[in-house]
Amino acid sequence: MNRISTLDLRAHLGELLDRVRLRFDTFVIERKGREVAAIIPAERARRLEDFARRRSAELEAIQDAYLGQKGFDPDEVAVSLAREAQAVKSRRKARRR
Amino acid sequence: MTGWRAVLDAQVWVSGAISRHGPARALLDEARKGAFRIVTSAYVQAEVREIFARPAVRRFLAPGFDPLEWLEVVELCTADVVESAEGPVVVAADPDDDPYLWTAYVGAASHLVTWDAAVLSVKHFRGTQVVEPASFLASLRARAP
Repeated sequence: MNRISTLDLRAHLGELLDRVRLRFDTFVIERKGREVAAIIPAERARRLEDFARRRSAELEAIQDAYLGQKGFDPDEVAVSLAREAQAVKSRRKARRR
Repeated sequence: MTGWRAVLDAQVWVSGAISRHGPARALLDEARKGAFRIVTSAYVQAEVREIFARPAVRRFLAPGFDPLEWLEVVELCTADVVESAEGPVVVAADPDDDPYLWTAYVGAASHLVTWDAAVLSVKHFRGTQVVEPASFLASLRARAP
């Protein structure tokens, strides 16, 4: 990806947007040497989000089928997760002290 | 879209991944539909990963379910990862929960969604309302067109 400063962005916004639209170039915008944003083609951003939505739903479907197949009681699962989440919080506290 | 932004407690993340029962999965579905935006941070992510790694949690995971991949794709479509922040103690009873409140503050979150009683007792923190998952879900659905 191309790197540009916020100054360049202000000075050449129209040209940069043309490059993104016509050549599918991508830009990372930096302010004071730190990455703050990116410009990518809108279609690519949409495809990335669509892929992520679809894939997360697929993984959840695999998980749901497994829990159903194994016959786990949803209440038992919820109680176990609450207990384990609490155990992790307690461990993290102990490490911080 | 509500324009709401919410920090989800690690237990909400993991519950939503593992089971379709209860409000946690429904909240993730709402986020995927764009009803609100999730705010998270390295602190929250680390806690989620640590819960997933527990043997008592792993026994519920399907062989084809990779929790880290799931976390990444859900974050990609629903979440903003902000830099963790620290500040003065907020939850006197349990200051170790403060990173959640500071994540909410830095991420301009309207809500912090948790089952943790100590955090719930805060109720409001610098513009963030602390609520239970079921209550947040009900509020989201009440505002749906």
